[in-house]
Amino acid sequence: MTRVEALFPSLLFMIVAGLLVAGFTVLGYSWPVIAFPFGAGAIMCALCVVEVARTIAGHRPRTLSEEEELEPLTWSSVAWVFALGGFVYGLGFVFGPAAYLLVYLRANGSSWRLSIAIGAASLLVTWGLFIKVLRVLLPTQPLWML
Amino acid sequence: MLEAFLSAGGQIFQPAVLAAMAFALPIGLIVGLLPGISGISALAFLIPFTFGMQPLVGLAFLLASYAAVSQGGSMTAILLGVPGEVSNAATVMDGHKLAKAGKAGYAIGAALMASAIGGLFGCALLIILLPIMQPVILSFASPENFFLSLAGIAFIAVLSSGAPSRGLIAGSLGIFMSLFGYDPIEGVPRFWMGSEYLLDGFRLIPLALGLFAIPEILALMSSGKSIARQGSVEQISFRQGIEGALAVFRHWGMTLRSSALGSVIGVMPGVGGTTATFVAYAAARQTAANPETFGQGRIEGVIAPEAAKNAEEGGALVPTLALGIPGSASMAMLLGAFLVVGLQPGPEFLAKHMDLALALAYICALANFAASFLMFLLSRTLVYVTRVPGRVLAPILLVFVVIGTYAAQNSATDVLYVFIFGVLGVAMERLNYNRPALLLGFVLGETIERYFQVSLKAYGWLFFMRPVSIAIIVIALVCLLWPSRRQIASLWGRR
Amino acid sequence: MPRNHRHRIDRRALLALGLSAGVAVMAPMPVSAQDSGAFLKGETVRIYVGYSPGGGYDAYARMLAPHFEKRTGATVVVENRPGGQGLTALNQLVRVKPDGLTMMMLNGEGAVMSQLIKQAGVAYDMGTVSMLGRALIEQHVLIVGPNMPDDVKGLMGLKRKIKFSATGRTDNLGDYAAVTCEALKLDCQIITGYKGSKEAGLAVMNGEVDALAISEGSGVEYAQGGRAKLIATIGHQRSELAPNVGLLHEIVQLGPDQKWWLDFRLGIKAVGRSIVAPPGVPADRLQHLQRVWREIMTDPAVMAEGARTQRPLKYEEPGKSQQIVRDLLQTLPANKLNDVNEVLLKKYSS
Repeated sequence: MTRVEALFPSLLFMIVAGLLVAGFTVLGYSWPVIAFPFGAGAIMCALCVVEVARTIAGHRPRTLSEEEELEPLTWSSVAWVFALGGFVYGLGFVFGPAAYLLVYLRANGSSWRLSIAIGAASLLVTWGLFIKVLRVLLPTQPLWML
Repeated sequence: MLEAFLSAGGQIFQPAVLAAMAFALPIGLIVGLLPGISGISALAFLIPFTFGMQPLVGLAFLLASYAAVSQGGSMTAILLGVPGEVSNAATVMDGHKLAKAGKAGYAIGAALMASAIGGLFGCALLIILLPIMQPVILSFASPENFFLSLAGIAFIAVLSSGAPSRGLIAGSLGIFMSLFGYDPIEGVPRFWMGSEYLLDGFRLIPLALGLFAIPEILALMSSGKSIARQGSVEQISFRQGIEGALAVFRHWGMTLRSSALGSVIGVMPGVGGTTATFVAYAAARQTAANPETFGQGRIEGVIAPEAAKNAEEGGALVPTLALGIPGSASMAMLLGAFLVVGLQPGPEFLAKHMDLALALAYICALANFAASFLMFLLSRTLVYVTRVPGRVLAPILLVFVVIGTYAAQNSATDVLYVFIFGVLGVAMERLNYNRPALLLGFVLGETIERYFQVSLKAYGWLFFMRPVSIAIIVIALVCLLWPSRRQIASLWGRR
Repeated sequence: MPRNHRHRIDRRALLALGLSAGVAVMAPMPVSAQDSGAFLKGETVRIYVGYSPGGGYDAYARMLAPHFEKRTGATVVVENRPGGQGLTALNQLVRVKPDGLTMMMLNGEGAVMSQLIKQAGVAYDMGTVSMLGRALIEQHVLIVGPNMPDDVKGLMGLKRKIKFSATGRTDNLGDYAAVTCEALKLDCQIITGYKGSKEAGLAVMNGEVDALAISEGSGVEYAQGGRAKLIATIGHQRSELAPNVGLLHEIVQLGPDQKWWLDFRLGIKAVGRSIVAPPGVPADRLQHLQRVWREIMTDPAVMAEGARTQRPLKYEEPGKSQQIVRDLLQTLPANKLNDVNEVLLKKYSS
């Protein structure tokens, strides 16, 4: 846990410091342009360094997970969350969500009736409410076709 | 003046106006309850419907739907941990904890009553101030906006209990992120890296949804359990809601203070309404006993931001109506709606149509109450949401988030960024980096730079030597140092 | 008797038939117009707006959309695509298929200016964008704070730096301020960074800055009640909203160099708020669209509606706007371009 805890501020430090260095060198921003990002970024980097040091030295503020007994995340749930992106990319914003709901619900223990009902409701909301009533043109075609 | 009051009262009780409100409230409630749809997006969807309506009718429609949508945003903040707007992020901290403990009804009841009272306060202030508003607004220039935003940032440190250094990292990261895109002075796009999407920098809606909604959805999917993890023994009833409403009166001093803070901050054009809820939350924390338990489910952590939020909207109507200068982003949109129905807010408007302006203030108050009451009636049904198993709720929530994000600005890249920020959100949640702090930094960072640069150019380095600026600095310092006042007093005594 | 009656009826029927046939044959059948508009019937047409809902461009698009629907049978959707100060939407527009079904309500002046100074992120060429018609051209006026001199001569006589407010360098506030300062040879400081034009106006009212060059509608509004003073119109024609306010070149004698700056900026203004389409729209569709928009924007009923709701219409032929843009972008000599960059971006920044 300590390693993960130290990793996060280290990553932040590297990204922000890297951007700032790029800003001064490669991107060539003038001082008025880079001043505020430098200020905020430098403060953040300094705080990250302190945080990493304290974490490694063993001082650990209570993390939320311990306090709260948060459920550990499963890799399958991560996959499912990103899967919606895939469905939307492949089937558009109307059929993608409907198909996703159908597949997810069925695969996770809901009955056919519930899965189909919710999928149909999704079609109603996306096509009926958003496209027809609110005139927000959610793409019905797959995104790779646009 | 009196005729204006009476005439305004007469105007709002026309059938068309009341019908517009009656129509707008349920629509606003439903739209506001959809996670992924922020208050501003909802307003954007609804503005086209007002084309062709009579002025007061159209505005009543919008004000009522906005009041309802705000309530919806508070509900999703409590029930789902997904803020409807940035200003709801303050409610998430304690409100969602209560929901997880099975006390969603309690939090909702408190939130609704606090909103109603805050809204009433804000609208009352609006009515009192409208006639005399102009000189007050004109005394708030760029330096004042700068110091107010700075004070807002300072409160970031207060927001995160248990890990203040991590809260500060979150806040400064937020500020850094807000500075991507066109710099306000020279117009040079910073760190856009050739991506057209980043010319304006990161966008608020994907950030807010990614930070709050994705971690919540992931947790629900992983556990498969409902949001209310414990305490599902308790029967769902109105009892909890009524208890929550009564809690507002138990803490009446804090409620009034938060309402006052909200309306005053709302009156200042430029700072925008997001700071009001955070400042109120922080002030409540500073003045409460056992401040370190904030963030664990203190009811004051729900009452304060909710009261401030609605008070702020009433306050924001003041510069909008008095000078035609929007006091917040939603007011900017409302201003557009004014023009749509053929009105031009400003001193001329007030001189000629004071009764119309007052009528809007009444509608504001009425809509707040009506929305709170309707939402209260719905609250029992809403609490069921916290009992729905995660394996059913989570995918539905995710779909709403994705669709709501696209609908906001017609951009599929926004949806991509929701997932990117989702990764950040998960890391921050698990490692106890305060996410509202990041959001606050993100909202205020660019504002701070903007007003600092302008103040410097317009006044030189002595720009802080202005009475209102000094007043803001003093009040902010007092507020920040209040919990430590005993130590400071003893240090002073020992001198 | 019945037989005769029937005959008469038959003859009448025949006559009626013959007459209708004749009328049908003779009636003008606008065959070509119907064909040329066929690509729109029943289709969904998008109008991009580069700003969030509730703004001026959005309001214009939404006002005109129903009229377009009525005349073409298409369904019009106004899509707000904010970003890049209105330019991201234009970047996206020029990449879309040029089938005539996607258009944009464009801030033409801003687009031309950004292209002229080669702002980062410009991925379009205003010279090739298809113009469908200009909706509005806005006069700009010069307003000063309540404690400033009452007229331009007084302003020129001030012995200190005159502060202007603006949101950016080429936002229709900053650039007008820059050319005004060039033309009047004022010692100026243009303070950019205000959030919007309303905040820039507020800065004049509370004395934070001295002056502002802003569109006539806003200028007249801010000048009410003595909160600011409207001292000149920056244009070739007097403003209809403030006909008593003199033009800059009427008030002050301007040398040819100074005049050049005003003419340069006012030339760009002619592009105004326009409806545009991607480059490469087929000629027949382009002409049809231009005709439809001309009909809409010159229709007295529509113009009256616009006037009533703070959205006046001042139509201009697309051909004219196109020519102006091409002239500007192609015939500006290189040294002048340098001068333009210098004046707009650097000269008055501190």
